[in-house]
Amino acid sequence: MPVEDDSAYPAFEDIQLSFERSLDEVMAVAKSMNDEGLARETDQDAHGFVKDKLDTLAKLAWHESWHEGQLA
Amino acid sequence: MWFPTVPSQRGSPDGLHLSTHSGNTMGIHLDSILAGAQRTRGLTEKLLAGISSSEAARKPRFEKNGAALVVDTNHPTFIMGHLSLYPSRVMMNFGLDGAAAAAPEAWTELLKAGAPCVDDVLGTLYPSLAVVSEQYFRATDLCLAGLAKIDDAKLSEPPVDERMRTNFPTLGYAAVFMLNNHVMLHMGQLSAWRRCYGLPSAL
Repeated sequence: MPVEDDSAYPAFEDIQLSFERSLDEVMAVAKSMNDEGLARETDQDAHGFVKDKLDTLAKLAWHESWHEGQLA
Repeated sequence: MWFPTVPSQRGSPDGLHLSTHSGNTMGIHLDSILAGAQRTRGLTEKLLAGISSSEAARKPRFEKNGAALVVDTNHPTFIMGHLSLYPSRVMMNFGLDGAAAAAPEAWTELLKAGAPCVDDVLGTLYPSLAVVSEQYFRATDLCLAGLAKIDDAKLSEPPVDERMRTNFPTLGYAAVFMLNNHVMLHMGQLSAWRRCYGLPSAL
């Protein structure tokens, strides 16, 4: 649960940079994969949330859309 | 609940678990798109819980510097009405008959993308939240049921509609966005609206 306390979090600019960097890494990995690789099961147990690696990318965008909507 | 809960054509009835589309396992995986859409539908039901019909078309307001500040955000009635416009369009782009899923013609100008969301103080500008939500769920269910019968190969084709084709080069791209990310974007807005009105987390 978010708290109203700046000291509880890294600086917003740092969070944005970290987000952008990690997203760039995910996109680079995704672009390096072929259809067969994307259709494989995830390396870790996804507890039913995703079906395969392609679905992981779809759910990533799905989740981001939700929080972007909170900001929009 | 005043909106219909229809068992999904794919996935589990709660929309939270995935099924396997036995007919197609190659390509873009229509199963994943529709399973995500069912999850989104389930989340939408949760987010509508507890919203008062008298507040559903209102915008939050706060006091700032001694004056009332109306927060210019989309309210639930606008959001659900806006979202109800699209399932029939998705169906038509897939070559399906979307007539039964189409929203009333008069809603288009009122609720289309770019239309202003108005704080409906007198409650006379918009249909009720119950009405637009019923249309959204009914249209979504028809759309998902129709798409469940489509072959994955269709996902690689361009949309029929030129405007949709401009934004989405393939039907798969359009389906992922229109049935998942577009709805989730507006659910995020709805989530923020809920908190402004003192409603608890819907999750």
